[in-house]
Amino acid sequence: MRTALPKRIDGGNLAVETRGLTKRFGDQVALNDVSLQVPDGAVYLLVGPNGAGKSTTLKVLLDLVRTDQGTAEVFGLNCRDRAPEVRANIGYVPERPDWGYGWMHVGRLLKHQALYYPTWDVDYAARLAQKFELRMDRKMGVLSKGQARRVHLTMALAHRPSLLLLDEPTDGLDPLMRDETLGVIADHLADSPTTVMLSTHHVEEVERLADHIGVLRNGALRAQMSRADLDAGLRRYRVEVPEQWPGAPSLNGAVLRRVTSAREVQWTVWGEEADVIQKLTAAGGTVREVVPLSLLDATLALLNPND
Amino acid sequence: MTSTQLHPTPDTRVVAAEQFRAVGLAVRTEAYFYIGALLAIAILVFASTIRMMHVHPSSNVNNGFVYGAGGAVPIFAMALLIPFGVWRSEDPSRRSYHWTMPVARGPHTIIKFLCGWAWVMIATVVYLVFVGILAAGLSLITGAPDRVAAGPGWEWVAAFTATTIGYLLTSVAVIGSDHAWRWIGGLFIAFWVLVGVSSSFGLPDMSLALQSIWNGAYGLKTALFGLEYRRGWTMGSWPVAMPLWIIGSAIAVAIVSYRHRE
Amino acid sequence: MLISLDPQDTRPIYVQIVDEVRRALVLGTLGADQPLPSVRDLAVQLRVNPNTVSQAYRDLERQGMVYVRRGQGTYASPGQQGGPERRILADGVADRALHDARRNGLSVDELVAAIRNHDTQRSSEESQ
Repeated sequence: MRTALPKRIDGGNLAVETRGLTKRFGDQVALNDVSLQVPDGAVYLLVGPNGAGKSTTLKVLLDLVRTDQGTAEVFGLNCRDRAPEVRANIGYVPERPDWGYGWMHVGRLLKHQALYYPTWDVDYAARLAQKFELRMDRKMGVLSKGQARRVHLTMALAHRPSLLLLDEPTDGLDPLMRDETLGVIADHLADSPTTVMLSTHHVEEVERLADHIGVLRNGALRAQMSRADLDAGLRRYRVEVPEQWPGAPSLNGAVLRRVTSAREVQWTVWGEEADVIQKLTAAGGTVREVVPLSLLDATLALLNPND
Repeated sequence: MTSTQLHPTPDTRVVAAEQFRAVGLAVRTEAYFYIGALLAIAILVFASTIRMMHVHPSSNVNNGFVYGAGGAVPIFAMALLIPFGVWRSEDPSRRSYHWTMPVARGPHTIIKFLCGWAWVMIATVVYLVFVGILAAGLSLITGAPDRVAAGPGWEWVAAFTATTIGYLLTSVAVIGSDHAWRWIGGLFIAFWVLVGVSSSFGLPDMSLALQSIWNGAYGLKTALFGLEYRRGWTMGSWPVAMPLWIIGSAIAVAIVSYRHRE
Repeated sequence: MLISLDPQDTRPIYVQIVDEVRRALVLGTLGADQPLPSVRDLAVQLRVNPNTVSQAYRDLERQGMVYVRRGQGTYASPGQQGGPERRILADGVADRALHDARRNGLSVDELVAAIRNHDTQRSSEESQ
């Protein structure tokens, strides 16, 4: 049984669609035939190890990076040909902390940003500034990573863009502020219909916010699906096995992780539950436990290098 | 559905006005330094004039202050430095904020460049007013006629074109490269090395050709200040050299502004 | 009414929210015709996607545990402390217990005996 991990999200309107993005930096492959589909209104989590291509993908949408091959569209607009219109509808929080004029004061920078985005909500910006405890009179260049991050979040959210691209939005923030940020994002989603693409190493934090996931590894899209499909298709099976057990070769294609100890094997398998249980039992094992996985464990399993 | 409410891009006039204000803020440090320098010059000139009057009553000071095209050197020097202020902390590899704005990148860079140029023009006006006041003040003290006010017209224009050329040239380096100083310094060194090499290797033609880039009829010096003549300046081929250098460097600025970088 | 989610629970969030509301209804902490928190308030409180909260509320409405008053919000349906909801709760507890038992290799009878034993022990401790 070769159950391939789903690599396409079908159905519905797409806020973001990329087709075959390929990008090389010298002899380094940053993106390898990446085709993403982000449904309208989704909170799409991009996961992958460092250098997997997450930030690069987001930058392609902003036309900060131009690919060697492939196209990207946001709300039906080509990201390269209609770049200014695309960017007018994106709120971006970059990975780098030194973003925005370093010599400008925070308050002045927010005013600057407001003029570039006609839909800027001054009251909302003020509320965000208060929530994030921004110091308006400090220069951007002297802010810590966390303080700068909070300014960037305010800059991205205040004009209520239809698409939010958040690259490590809680990076550098203390635990309290991280929690506040998640609350702000939840509040923002409740207020304005928004599609979110976010990339973070703190997968547990966004467990309750993300409803789609895309897994990148070495610039290639390994899997992409809704959380509902992930919950339904990924399970951990604890199986009691007899001695000298030859294994269950019929499962090989779908196994993501396998942990063995004496007479017990723990499999993380992608596939239909009934089907997997049947195969395990037929191979001589006794299925003791079947559990769905937390988002973090699911991510680790999907990123597993042993293909 | 989110995509039915697409937000508009900002009005170009709003962008230009905001960039003008922002660039003005960005070059504030340079402005303060410059005003300080002008005040220092004024004090020095007045002090030395007064001293000369007491010590050497019959010296040339009584002939009055004359403004030649070379008088634009201080403001030209300022114009050379302004691009570093305009693009402060935004080397191309760190310019992503500017590029993320909902404006096409090439035109956005040009807008910022032009706003910087507008400030350079303002600074030039301030400088010439300063010169005028200085001349009037000196003439009051020394009793000599104020000859600046009656000076030839082209030299006032030359102040504006010289600063424009200076601003254009440095802008090419600053907009186009992460290491503008290396390019500028490198160019200088390369130029003088070639001149020196061609002279010492007995290649007078090559040496002269190279030097004419600076000194020649259509050289940079001519484009900036005209032809140096005895103790003054005259137009020479300035009316041709000046537009040539402006157009040439403007093209270079356009090229580096529209070039895609990551 | 306070809702909290168990971070160790791997069931879909909307299922957890529905169960929490059910529990509040059965226990009486959420009384008849009392308002539930707005979708937005609950989403912010729990750091949850508002769509998930909406999904939970729709499910609750479908099951008759809550009703929606147009423009005013979601309210608890009366008569929820009764049998059907209690049975569903009991069902959930039993399911989890059996799951745990199976994991530890225990039979149903062993589990039931252990439960009764434990309960008797606890009552005798409490009466002392």
